Amino acid sequence: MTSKILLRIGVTIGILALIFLGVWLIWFKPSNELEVFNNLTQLQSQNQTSFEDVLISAKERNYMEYSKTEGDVPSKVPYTFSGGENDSTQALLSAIKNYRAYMFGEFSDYERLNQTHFFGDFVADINLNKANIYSYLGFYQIYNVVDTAFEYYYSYAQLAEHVSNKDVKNINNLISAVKSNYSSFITTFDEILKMESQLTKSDDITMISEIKALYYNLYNNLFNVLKSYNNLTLNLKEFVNNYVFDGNIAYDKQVVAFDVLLNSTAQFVEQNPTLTLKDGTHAYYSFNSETKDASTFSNYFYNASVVAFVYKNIDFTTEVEQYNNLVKNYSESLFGDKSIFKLTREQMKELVNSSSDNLSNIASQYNVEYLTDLQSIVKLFFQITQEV
Amino acid sequence: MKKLYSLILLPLIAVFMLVGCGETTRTVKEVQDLYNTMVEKYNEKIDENSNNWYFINKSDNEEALLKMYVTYDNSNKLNDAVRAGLTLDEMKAIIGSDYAPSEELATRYEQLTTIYARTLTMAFNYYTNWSETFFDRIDAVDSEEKEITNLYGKLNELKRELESFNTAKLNIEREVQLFGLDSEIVASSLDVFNYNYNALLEKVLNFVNYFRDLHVKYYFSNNSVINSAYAQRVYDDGLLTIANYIYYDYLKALTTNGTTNLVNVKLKSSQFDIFNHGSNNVTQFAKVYDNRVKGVVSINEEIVNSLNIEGESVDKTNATNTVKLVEVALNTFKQYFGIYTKVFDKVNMESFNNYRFKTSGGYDDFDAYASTLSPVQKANVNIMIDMEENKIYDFMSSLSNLIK
Repeated sequence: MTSKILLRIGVTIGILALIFLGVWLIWFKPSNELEVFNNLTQLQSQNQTSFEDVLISAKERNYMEYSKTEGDVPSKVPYTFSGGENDSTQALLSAIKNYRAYMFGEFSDYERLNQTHFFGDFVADINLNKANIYSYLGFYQIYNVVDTAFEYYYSYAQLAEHVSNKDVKNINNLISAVKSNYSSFITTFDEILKMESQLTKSDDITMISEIKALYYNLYNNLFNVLKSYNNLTLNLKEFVNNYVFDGNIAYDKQVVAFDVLLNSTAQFVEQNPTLTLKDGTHAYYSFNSETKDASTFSNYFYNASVVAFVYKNIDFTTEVEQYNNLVKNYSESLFGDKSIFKLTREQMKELVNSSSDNLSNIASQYNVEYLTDLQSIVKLFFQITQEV
Repeated sequence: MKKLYSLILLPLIAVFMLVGCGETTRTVKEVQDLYNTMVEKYNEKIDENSNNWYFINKSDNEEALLKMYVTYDNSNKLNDAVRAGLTLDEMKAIIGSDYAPSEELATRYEQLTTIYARTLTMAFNYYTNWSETFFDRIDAVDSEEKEITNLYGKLNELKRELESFNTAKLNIEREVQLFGLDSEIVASSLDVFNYNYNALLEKVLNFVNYFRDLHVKYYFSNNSVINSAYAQRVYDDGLLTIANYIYYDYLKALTTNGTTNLVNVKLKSSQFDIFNHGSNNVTQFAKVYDNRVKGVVSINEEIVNSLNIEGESVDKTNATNTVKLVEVALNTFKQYFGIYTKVFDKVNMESFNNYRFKTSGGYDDFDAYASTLSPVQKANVNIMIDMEENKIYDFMSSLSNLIK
């Protein structure tokens, strides 16, 4: 009898516990909705700040060294190594200088600066002095653009609701990748500073070679930062789209601009451009079997004046409407494997030059009904990025 | 046993009674009657020399527009006095106050005739333009009784608010006569009036937003033919949406304990960005809704004519595309406005206003302001600033394509 009573009490307690657990899971389960936002905040407040401090100091340091020698005209050799004593030293010093220019935006060739007409427009547009113009070029500039997009979506991430653990995990992994790359960049830069402080003779070829190798590493580190940060931002946009806007984010001017900018950055980094030293004197970057003079790098990518004003002063209202049309009726042309952003630049050009009467191979892979809209978006892509 | 039954029955009876006490179902005719009663009560001009009327009488061949001006424009009386060759003191004796109130009060009066009046007009404009069509055809569609009852309820709330507003208005008018424009008593009454004006705006927006939703639900769909009526509806919805935004960003954001103190902003209403943006399109747009107060038709006549062309034509296609484009911008803005209203209540308006308007000395820059915020607060503020600096102007520029 007693055992029966005990059994009943036990079963009752068990059922009550299950009910309690169910209620708790439904109503009080710890939410991970802010987890992504908190992790992004941590990335931003600690790692990113340290990284940007180093990045900016590296950029400013680079510029200051040039300006100390010849005003605002970039010197042929970096300031700290002035007076190379033989050709081989000179070549290595040039290479170092080019690496730095590649990363932080200075032009190695002052004449090129003057011949590039869009600089004039840029100055007129935002009235910046030349020091800042240099700063806007190169990886530093691209990083800033990606950062602007990141900040935009980051603000919305705190409003995410009903997030899936899988997507939280995905974002967290991407955050870790960015953190790791920030850290590598800072470590390498510290090593460079240390070695440069130990360099007493400007013709110490061994040490200069080691410094050059470190700059090469630094380039890879910075490239990896850009790649991972861009990837994180693209995924963050999707996260915000899914969990703040219920998968139906409105494509206004800013979101369209960010989509194009982030995808153009993705196209660039996907090609894994590498730096090489050629002829012992100049740095080159190569991708897609092409080799380009590193000093033309900043010409290749963002059109600085467009990027700086793309969100406010450039009227692409029609393209925004066309983008919306594609999102609504033909979204696979923008997102996923068939996205026009996955095309190479050559394929993009083919698409732009196609006509409904004479369809190119690439254009025939898309719904011809939307050819005009697709062409407009690719043209916007070309407007924002710039050909060599 | 009986006691037990009664114990069980009592709560049931109470529930039945509660259910029985639900809202009385209202008809379309009752909504119209209530509206007409309200218009009849408040459609008279109080002073022929001013704009102190609420509803324009339809017999004036103008559309009925709700607007509440308290301009206290003494210029007519002042001009009479000048023509009569009177001295300043003699003028004051005649017009009952100093002809130029202090800058603070002058700013507040101006705000009533600009920000408030424009917002109110833009909001009510939708109901003015579409109520007749709506009620004429509502019996033909399968509308829900509950919706008409809700509409009646919101209109009734508006009517009650209008009564409170009118009391505050009469009060301040009487005090101006007694004490002149520039007095502490008037300033205090202006606070009360301002309080009522805010409440009135809120009721108008509640009512018209609900009406708009019903109107769209029953008369417009994605498959609707884009004609001049369609374009007009999109435009009117655009004005209403802007009114909703202004109410939040310029009035609700600056309201403490029910009173909006725009004076602290140290800006005259005409200097508010939203009415004074550099873009030509927006400036033109601002002028149009100024004209709208006077009953001027807003949409570009060429667009209207093109949309009304029978058959196909290039002009018609272009006009249709323009309307589509504006509608996309409208829906886009509405989505972000929905997010904006979510974060609005989470932002500390006092510090936000101090950042953007320097109401308490201001901050050196955004970083200084942001350093006082938690990450979530900063994110909310960023969304607010994005609305204020980008999205509203993009939308207004797009909307102005209908009036160019």
